[in-house]
Formats: sequence, C-alpha cells, structure tokens
Amino acid sequence: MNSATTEMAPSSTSRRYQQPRGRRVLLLVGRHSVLIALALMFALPLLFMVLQSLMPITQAKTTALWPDTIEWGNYRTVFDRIPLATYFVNTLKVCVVATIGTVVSCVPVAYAFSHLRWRGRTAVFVLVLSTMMLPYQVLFVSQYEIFTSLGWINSILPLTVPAFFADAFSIFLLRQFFLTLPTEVMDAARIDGATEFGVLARVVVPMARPGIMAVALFQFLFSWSDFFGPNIYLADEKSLTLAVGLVRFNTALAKTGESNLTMAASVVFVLPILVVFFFAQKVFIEGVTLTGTKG
Amino acid sequence: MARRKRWTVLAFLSPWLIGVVVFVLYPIINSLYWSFTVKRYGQPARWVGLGNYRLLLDNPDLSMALKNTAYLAVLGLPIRLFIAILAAALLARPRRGNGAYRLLFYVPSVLPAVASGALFFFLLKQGGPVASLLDLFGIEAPLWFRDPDWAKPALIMVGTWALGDVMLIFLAGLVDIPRSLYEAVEIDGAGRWARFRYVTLPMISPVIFFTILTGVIGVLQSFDQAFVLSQGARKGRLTGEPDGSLLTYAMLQLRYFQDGRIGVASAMAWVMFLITLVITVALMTSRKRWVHTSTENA
Amino acid sequence: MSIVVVAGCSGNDSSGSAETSDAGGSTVVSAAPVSEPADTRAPDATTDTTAKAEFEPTTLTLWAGVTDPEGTVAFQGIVDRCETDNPWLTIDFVGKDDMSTALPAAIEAGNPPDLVQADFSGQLAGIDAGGLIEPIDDLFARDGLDWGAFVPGGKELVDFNGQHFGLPFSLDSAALFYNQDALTAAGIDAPPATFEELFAAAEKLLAVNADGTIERVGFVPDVGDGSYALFLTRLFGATMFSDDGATITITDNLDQWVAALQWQKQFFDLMDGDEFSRWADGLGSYDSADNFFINGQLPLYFEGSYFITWPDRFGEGKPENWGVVPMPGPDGVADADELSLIPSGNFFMIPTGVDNLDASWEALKCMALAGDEIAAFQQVYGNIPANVAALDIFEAAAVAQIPEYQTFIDLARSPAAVLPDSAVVAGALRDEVSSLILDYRRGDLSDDDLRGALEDLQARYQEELDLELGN
Repeated sequence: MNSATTEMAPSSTSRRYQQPRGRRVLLLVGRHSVLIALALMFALPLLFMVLQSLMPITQAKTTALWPDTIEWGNYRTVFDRIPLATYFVNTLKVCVVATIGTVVSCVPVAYAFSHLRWRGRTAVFVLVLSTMMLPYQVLFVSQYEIFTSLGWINSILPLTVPAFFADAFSIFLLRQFFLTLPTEVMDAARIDGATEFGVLARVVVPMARPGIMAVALFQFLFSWSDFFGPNIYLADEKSLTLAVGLVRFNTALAKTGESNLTMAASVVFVLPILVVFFFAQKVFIEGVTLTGTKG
Repeated sequence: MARRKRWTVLAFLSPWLIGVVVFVLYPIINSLYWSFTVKRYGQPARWVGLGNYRLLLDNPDLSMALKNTAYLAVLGLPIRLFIAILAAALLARPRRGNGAYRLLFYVPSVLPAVASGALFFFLLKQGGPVASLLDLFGIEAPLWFRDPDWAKPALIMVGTWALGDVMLIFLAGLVDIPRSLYEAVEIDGAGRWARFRYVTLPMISPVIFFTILTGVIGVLQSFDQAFVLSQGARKGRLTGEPDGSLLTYAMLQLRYFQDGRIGVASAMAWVMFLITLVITVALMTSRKRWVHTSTENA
Repeated sequence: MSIVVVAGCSGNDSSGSAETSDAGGSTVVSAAPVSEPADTRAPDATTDTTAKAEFEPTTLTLWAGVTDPEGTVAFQGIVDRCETDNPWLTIDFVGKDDMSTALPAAIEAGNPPDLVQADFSGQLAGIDAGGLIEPIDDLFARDGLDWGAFVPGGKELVDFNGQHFGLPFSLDSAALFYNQDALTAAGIDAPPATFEELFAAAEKLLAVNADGTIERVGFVPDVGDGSYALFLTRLFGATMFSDDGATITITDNLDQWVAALQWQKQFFDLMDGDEFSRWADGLGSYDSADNFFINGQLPLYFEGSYFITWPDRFGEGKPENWGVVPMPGPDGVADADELSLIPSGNFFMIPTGVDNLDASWEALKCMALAGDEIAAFQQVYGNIPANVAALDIFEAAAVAQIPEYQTFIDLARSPAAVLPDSAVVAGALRDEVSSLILDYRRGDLSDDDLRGALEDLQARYQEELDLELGN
C-alpha cells in the first residue's frame, strides 16, 4: 500500500495521462519557486544563528551580521566546558527507552481505538483526549508525590517508565494514522483466521510504518529537549541530560558574559536530533518497502 | 465471541488503562479538588467552593487573555497548517534534494525556546536584518515586540517558523496514500488540484484533525515563547507587554503558579479543560462531514 | 557601636563559648556549639543547651542555585568548611538550575531537601508563615545568635511579619551608574546627587536628531520594559503590603504612589512616546558590547550590583570614566545611610517537613556564618555577602579590583535598606501594578484616572488576599 514512489504530480512514468510540456515546466518552476522562497525564510534565521555562534565575545548579542573573526574555538570551548559525552549518553538512554516504551505501548491502544469496534469506544477516546487537556503544571505536583512514594526520585525512572503506559498524545496521533489505512487487507486477514493481534502485528504495523516512525520521532524529540523532567527528578550531576546541561551552561554564561557561546551550545544540542531525523525520514519516505498487497 | 472480544479490547487498552490509574487519575482528582479550595504548597487545602472561579471571572485581564489566546489560535493555526501541508506536499517524494529541504524545515522546530527567542529579537529589532531589508523597499519596519498591534503577528511568525514537527506528521500521512487512488482519479482526467482535493485531503483529514486539536491545546497551554518574547523573562514579569497584547491564558495562569496559589491555578486549568472539551466535541461531531476514514467508524 | 560575632564557623575557634563586649558595652554574643567534637565547653557557657556530641552521623541534602563549574567549586568550599567543623555532618550538595517547581513539589510530597540556598525573596510568597519554610527565631534565640552578624538588609531579607525564615547569604544592592564622559561632554561635572540634579541632567543629556529620532536618552527609570518601574516607587516610600502580609497598603500610601509615578513619567514626557519606543527597540542586548550604558546611549542607569562587571568586560576601556553613586531620593542628597534599594538577595532556608530540624539548623548556621569561605565564594560568584565578617574580607578584595564596588557595599551595609515587601498575592499584584505603571508612563492612563485605577486594583486584590488567607 505504501509506495516508495507515491506520485503527487504527473511524471513521465505515468502512462495514463500527461500534461502538455509547457505546463509541466511551469509547474516545475512554480514548485521550485515556492520551495526556494520557503527555504530562504526558514534558512536565514538559522544562518544568523550559525554566524552568531562563530562570533567573538566582543560581538556577542550585538547587531553585527558577520563575525569579525571566525571563532571555531567557540565550539571547542563548548565541548571543553560541558561534559557532553556524559550528558549525551544519559540523554540517549532516556530517549531510547522512552521511545521504545511509547511505540510498544501505543500501537495496541491506538489500534483498539481505530480498528476494533466496541461499545463506548468514542466516549473512552474522548476520555483519553481529556487527559491531554489539563496542563502539566497542575498535575506534576501530585505526580511527584506518586513518584516519591514509589521511591523513584533521583533516578530516570519517572522519565522512562511512564512511557511504557501509552500517553494520550501518541495514542491520538497513532490512531489518526491508523485511520488512514485501508481496511480491506485487515478484513482479509481476519477472514483467514488471524487474531486481532495477528492483524495488528502482521498487517497494520508494516503498513503504518511512517506513522509509527513519526510518533517515535516525536517522543524522541520530546525526551531529548525535556528540561522540566530531568531538572526535577535527577539529582546526581553525572546523571544529568543535555537539556539540563544546556540550561546550566547558559546560566554560567550569564555570569561570565560569554553570550556568544549560547548559540554555539544550541547548535551542538540540536545536531544529534537532526541526524536522527535525517535517517528516519530516509526510512519512511524513501526506504519503505511493500509488504501486503495492492498498489 | 463477544466476551473474547471484550477481553481482546481490554488487553489492547491495558497499557493506557494501567497508566491512567497509576499515574494520572490521582493528579486529576487532586487538581479538581484543589480548584474548589484555597491551596498553597505545603499547606492543607481549605474549601471555598466556587470562590476561585468567581475570582477568575472578576479578573479584568481574563477577557484580554482569552482574546489574545483566541487570536493566536484562529490566526496562527491555519497559517501553520497551510504551510506545513504545502511543504509536506511538495516534499513527500524521494526526490533528490528533498531530504535537504525537509531537514531545513525541521530544524527550527527542535531549537529551544530561548534560542529562537533570542534569534528573533535580533532579527526583528530596529536596525536589525529585517528592518534593513524592509528599508530597502522603503517600508518602515514596525516595532514588532514593542508594538501592541504587531506583537502577536510576530509571535505567530516565530511559531510558523517552527512548524517542522507538524510538517513531519503530514509527511508521514502523505506517504501512506496508495497510488491506486491517484490513478483512479487520473483516469477521469483530473488535474493536479482535483487530485489534491479528492484524494490527498480526504486521506490526510484524520491527521489534520489531530493537528487542529493539539494546536488548540498547545495555544491554550503553552507560554514559553510568549513569555520569552514579551520581555518578561528578564525580570520575571508576566505583564504580557506590550500593553498586555501578549498576555495569554497560560501566562495569566502562570501568575498564580508563581505565587504558589494552586487553588486558583487549578480552577483556571479546569476552565481550560472545559473550553478544550467543548471545542473537541464540536470538532468531532462536525468531522463526520469532512474527515474521511477508510473504516466504517461511527 | 561595633558588633562582634563569635560563632563556631568563622574566624578563630575557641573551645568553648565566649563573651565579648565592645567599648559601647552592650553587645554580648555567645557561641554556638563549637568545632571540636568533644564537649569541652568552657564553664562560662551561657545559653546553649544542645550538646554537639548528641548528633549522630547525619547526611543532609542541600539544594543550591549554584550550578556553574567555578561557582560549584567555590561553594563546595563553604560546604567543606562546615563538614570539617561538624564531623558528624555530611552535606550532599546538589546544584539545581531551577528550583521554582522542584522545591514546592518536594515539600508538598513530604520529601524536601534538608537545606536550601536560593533567591526566593518575594517570589515564592512562601515567606508566608507556615507554608514552605521553617521560621528560625526560636533556634536563633536558643543559640544566642546576634543579628549583628549580618548587615541590616540581610535581616530584612528573611523577615516576614516579624518572623525570620532563614539566614541571609548575599544581597544585590542597586545604584546609579553614570558615564562621566557623556556627562562632561554635556557640561555636567559631577553625577547628580539630588532629584533636581537628576532631572536637569536628564534634560541636558537628551539628544534628538534632526529627523526626530532619539540618539541618546539622559535618564529613564528603565528602558521601557518596566524592570525597575515598580521597585523605584520605594524611593517615595510607597509600599504595597502591611508587615503581616494581610492588608494591601496602596490606598494608605496613595499620595506616595502618585508622586512616585509622576516622578517617573516626567522623564518620559521629555520625549516623543513613539520615538522612545523606537529607540528602546533598537538598543543592544544589555549583556553585550552594544549595551546602552557602555556605548553611551543611556549615560545614567539605575541597576543592580551585578552589572558592575559588564563595562570592563565588554567595553574594553569604554567609557573611560564611569562610576556609581547612590540613587538620589526625594528627600535630599543621596546617601547610602539614608536610603538603599535592595532589589533581591539570596538566603539559606530550611523547608518545612525536614527529617531533622536541629541538624539542618546546625548546618544552616555554620554555612551562613562561614565568613572566610563565603568571601572566597563571592569573589568568584560576584554577589555581595550579607555576613559581616565575609563582607569585610570581600570588600577589601573587590574594591581593589573595581573601585566602584565601594558604593554598592556601602549601600549593602546601609541601616536604611529597603527590600521588596511580600504577601501571598505579591507576584500577581506586582505584575498588574507594573502593567499599570507602564500604561501610565505611556500616557494611556491619565493623571485623573491614576488614583482611581490604583484604588480599584487594591480593592480587587484585597478581596483575593482575603480569600487566600481566609479572612
């Protein structure tokens, strides 16, 4: 069902309908113009960010557009001052475990809300959504109490274990993806005698890979940039995550006045996620293979 | 048959059910209880009935906060949605170069709020890059975050810049669309637009629904960007400068949190809850008309 | 009258308590339990009854807002000192970047840290009795400590409604930075010492270009962001809360409030409102080389002591001549002993619900009085110590490095220290009053309406306060 070559516009491989050449060129130019315009708007602030990360302290936070001297050393300093390796490993631990937990727990739940029919399903789904509707600030104090009584304070357990119990946001997202899948294949499998679990595992999951990847990426990103959780639940300096390290670094900079390093640190913070995203999108946009039938 | 099915459903739902009971139920009940009390950290709660709610209604900043929040939602969400879908639609194919574009659009959404805030301050200030650019065209740059009329549009700009995560969702949704549907429409001689309207949009409508709902919740609950950008961050002020134009509902609630008045803050949270619930139900019932699903769901 | 402190943790230790009195004759201090583990108190021990030897080996958790590498090392010095003085004591020092959510949650869950060092003055509203922090007056009296060990502002910092909620650690005093180069160029020889001189200087220094845009502003209470708008009203004695935090006192001080706000507005009335906004928007970041004080755009700048390192750090010798003087008040010549504005400070506190209050207190006492180590820490960290012994050491070193520190230190020592007052609704009310002030300065709120607006605000918040306190 998923096609690595899903076509959105006519192309020369479509045998059935071709648009006149002139129109095709126009569309191509149009498409590229829009993309380039958007890309410029998105890229320019980033460009400034990188430029600022390479400025010397005398230019930090000024209106200067271009660094007087390119201070690659700024990145060196960031690496020297923040125990990046430790924080990176800690963050990775939390992110990977939480992401696995989210995927494993949310897939069955989302399936129950999308492709199992049962009485009260909509009502319960609204309940699921309701748990998203209260802001975390009112809830976390009581959650802290729960974690205290479990003895999980000062560990990464509060950051990882709850992920194995399906959060509303991921359930919602995954359910919506599941809803876009065609049911014929699932029905066929059921007729062949598959259990619901079998349908889920062998039919739905392969088809829904992009959606699952998207949910996984979201969780990964959330865990990566979460400052609140680690700040509250982690005590030992050696167990801190990158998000905390970044805040800590910026606080220290406020004292020494080296605000030119803030941007450099942000760049470093963001790079690994970009790597993850880059590979993830390669998988779900370009590398998805067909299992199931129908094209 | 029915009993086995019930067990199946329960089994599938079990992670969420257990999670709710263990981690979520107690906090929710607590917050509901607290909304009817005067409660500060470390002190026992004292019942005051509807006192907090009354207090909230009497707050003259409430209507402004709600208006600001509504403005950000009604204007900001459609713009974000439109550009995210556009970008995803243009980039959903494995073309060369697409990967780079996708990455580019995604980067801003992973930046910490403080970094993007500082970046936009720099970009939008008088004498800065944007002002200079507008000057080239003979346009006088507005004062953005110091002008009550422009502060919200500026905030929306920052939010739109960071739409990469929404684009990601649409990318995933678009990739899922089977080719057969397009070919079926192509046979009838449909053009590009028709393909989009009759195949693409309906197929991603569940995802659009998701984006709208989570977008509304996001606007209601988040204060990070607005806080940083309303120049309150330095001195911890929640005035929503300039002129209260950036005072959102979430920032108003933050005032109570910062004083440790969890009772009123909880009341505000439950008001937020009710608003969201109403919008959700409205969207869900109207969705029958515009959301297409391939299953015969009620 | 000089004040002498002898406590277990500072200076030379004696093996027992000691009484000292100065020539003036009235200060008597007895020592807290001292550093030797063995109970070798001298026979003339006075009030303390707690025997050090009663403490079993205990580990206490300390949350401190110090997280930068250098500061952490220096702070560890204070911790180490107290562990040495109290061998039964181990202090687990945890640096927390943001305690504003973690601490209340921990207290609410009944699992708080044993000690906290933080900057919650007026912010937690938990200087509200019985909420989050233990009052220490009984312990203080029991151990015969003397508030003279701290500057008056320090005592004020931890004071709420007559009770004291911890021991002060550091203060930030605030004063008027002046750029003498700019002043001289405008024909002003010396920094303003009175209100009249301040306004005259502001007028002279205002520089408007031919096209109406503003080049330089002489003085404004803050650059339009309201950062000190509220606090500067204290120059006029405009208070917000009664001592017990149960009554809002704006209407009692209405004349002072109006005078304070009219005073601020006159500076803004010297300029066109839109042009000022434009100027303010184009200002550089305050922690950069574009800082408006450093590059002469705002030659008279009211700010806290932490700013003192910026000119030299970024300015690289520009401005060449700059200094700090106490902020003039309405009653005459600026004088540190007459009036000193202290916007914030840092203190040690014991959260409610700790396991061993006595142990926490011992640690608290020791850390707040560890003069040498505190001075060493602040030499790295840069805030002004509230402990007098530490301040003496710090003063010598700091002034040698940056002479302008003297003014800030004099202000920190002032007996007329003014700090933000506090109540349960303080945060929200401050936000709304700030908003009101900004509206008024901008001209959106007229003079006629000002009093009414303040009264309305008071009425509404008194209702809220009554609800909160159950009155």
